[in-house]
This record gives sequence, C-alpha cells and structure tokens, in this order.
Amino acid sequence: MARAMRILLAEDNPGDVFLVKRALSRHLAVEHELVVANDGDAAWKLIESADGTPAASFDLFIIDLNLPVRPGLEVLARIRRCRGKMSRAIVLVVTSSSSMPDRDAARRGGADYYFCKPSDLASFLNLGIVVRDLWNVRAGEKTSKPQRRAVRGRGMTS
Amino acid sequence: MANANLLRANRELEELTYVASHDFREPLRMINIYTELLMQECGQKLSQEASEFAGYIHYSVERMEHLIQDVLQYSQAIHDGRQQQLGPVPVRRPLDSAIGIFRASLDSAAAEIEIGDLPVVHAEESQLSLVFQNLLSNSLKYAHPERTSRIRIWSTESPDFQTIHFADNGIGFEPEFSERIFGLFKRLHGREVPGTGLGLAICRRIIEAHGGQIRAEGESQQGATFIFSLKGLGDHGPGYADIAGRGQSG
Repeated sequence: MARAMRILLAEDNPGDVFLVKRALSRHLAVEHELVVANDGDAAWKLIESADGTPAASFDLFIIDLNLPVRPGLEVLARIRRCRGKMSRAIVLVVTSSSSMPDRDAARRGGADYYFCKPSDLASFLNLGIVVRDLWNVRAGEKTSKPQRRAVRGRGMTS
Repeated sequence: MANANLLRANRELEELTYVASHDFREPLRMINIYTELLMQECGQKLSQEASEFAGYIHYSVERMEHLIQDVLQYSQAIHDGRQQQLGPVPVRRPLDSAIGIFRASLDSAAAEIEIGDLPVVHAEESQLSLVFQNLLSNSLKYAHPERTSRIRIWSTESPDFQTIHFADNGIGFEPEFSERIFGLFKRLHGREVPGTGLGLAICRRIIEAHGGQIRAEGESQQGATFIFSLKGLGDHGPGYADIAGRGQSG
C-alpha cells in the first residue's frame, strides 16, 4: 500500500477518543493515521473535502451516533453517498446505545459493524481487534475471493 | 382538557426518564474505565488504602448501573403499557420463558418449582414474562438459608378475573410491610441482599396497566405469596374457547 491507512474518528467525548486511540495502537498492527472530528459537522466537512481526492480519502470510519451538530447517522449517510471509493469504506458505528432501533438504523444506513461501548477497559480495547479483523478481511477481498458475508453477519450482533 | 394535559405531562416525564436512563450510563462508563486505567497506570505506587477506595468507586458504579437498568425497565413498562397489544396469552408460556431465563440461578439454588393449571388471560406476553422474571428473582434473592427453595404457582378463577398465586418458602416479610414493598426503591434489606427496590414496583406497574391488581401476603421467616389478577378471556368470543379450555384453575 502506497500510504498509511487513514481512519476518521467522529467522537465528541475526549475520554472515548483516548480509548479508541489506545485500542487501535494496541491491536491494529497496521500503520495508520487517525483524524479526529469532534462533532458531526466537522466529520461531514472532512468527508466532503476528501471525496474524490485519493490522498486525503479515508479507508475506515469510526462514528459515534450521538454527535453534536449533526447526528452520526447523517455522517454515515454522507459517506455512502460519496462519489469516490470512500462510499465503500469500512464504517463502524461505536455508541453507548444498545437499543434495537439504533442498531436497525445503523444497519439500514450501511454500517459494517455496530460496537456497543462497553463499561470496562478490556472490552473497550477489543475495538482494536474488531477494526483489525474487518481491515484484514477487506484486504483479503481485494486479492482473493470475498468472505464478506461471514464478517457482516457477526458484526451486527455484537 | 385537564386530563389531556395530565396525559401529556405524564408522557413527557416518561420520555425524559427514558432518555435520561440512557444518558446517565455514559458518565458511569467513563468513571469505571478511567478508574481502571488509573489503577493500571499507578499499580505499584498505590497504597492498600487507595486500592480499597478504587474498590468503593467500582462498587458504586455497578450499583448505579443496576439502578439505571431497573429505572429503564420501569419506564419501559410504563411506555409499553401505553401501547401494549393485548391478546390471549396462556399464562404458562411467559412463565416458562421467565423460568428459562433464570434456569442457571434456579439450578444452582436447587430450587423446586411446582406449577398448577394456569389459565389463558388477556395480556401482553412479554410484559407478563417480566412480571414472572421479577417474582422469580425476588424469590431467589430472599430464599431461606436453611431450606430448599420451593416456589409454587397456581391459579384461581372468579367471573371476571383470573388470579395467579406465586408463593415461595423464603424469608418472607412482616405483614405490615406488604404494601411498602411495591413502592419505588423501597427495600426491606440492606447491602447483604443485592437489589434496587424496583422489581416489585415494575410488577405492580405492569399488572395495573393490564387493568389488574397485585398484592403480597407474607410472614417473617415463613415465605411470601404474590397474588395478581388479570382479565380472563370472558367476552372475547368463542374463538378463544379452544385455548381457554386448557386453562381451568387447579
């Protein structure tokens, strides 16, 4: 790969930003660059300006649902509307809501994974493993036959 | 008009409770995780006393999480009560599902359950299961330390109502507390028995939303009996007769 993997994290809680960073640095094991947007509108603008610019585009998104200014679901919809390859990027919804309506909305919006923020450290850091696995499967799809269904199925139940 | 205002005020209160219950969890999650991180980072430097303090934080967070979970269930019961889809439910079905949920705890307590003939009632099945879950949890929590837990469930019938009796042989309670135990956050025990004091309040809320009533009878050290009435199928037509036939009282 020509450049490091680019990740956009849309999260307003600095405590969670720290935890996501730690989860990624602990488990991802792929060179990556993390860009943080503290509200939904900032994320929206970053996506808009990166759309169609391969060097600036993101490979993976981690989106909180309950974001200021613009809710996470709008950000998700914006990603899926991109003209370039970002429309097919991996999107994880990471939220403290465990409600079925939120899960359904994330799935309908095209999220690849729904990660319910756990209230203990070790489980939260597992987010890094989830990102790593999704990334590896996606990388595998580019070179061999797809195995996407298996990961998709597991993802939405977590 | 006054009634409409009251209804709206109630609805707003319910929505507020619902949203608050979700949002209250956020800071707790942070407190928990960052206490853990603090412990990890300072591990060796922490004194015995400081570790104890961290233990108190952890205990309180867990307790608060349980409280919120129960408040959420309670407000959900109110919310669902408003939009519930009543239909004929053979009481045995939600009871069995509740027993299934508590299977592991019932087995490890070696509890004996005796179930008589149960009727078909006019109810919302998942809500009725919630009532049984709370009653089972209650019986397990207040089991008598010196005897095997025995839970009996049976029914009696009157022209308009089916009455379900749920009795255990646990530590019971003083008869003067038979009303107080249904109050919000009312408990008769301290920290030695886990719980938030919402379980029976949830039961009462659900049964009353169904147009029924619930009360408790008990005696200290002699066990408790919870008695609730629900509408039978009565006038709902002969179409239900075949299911209702199974449901004669025992």
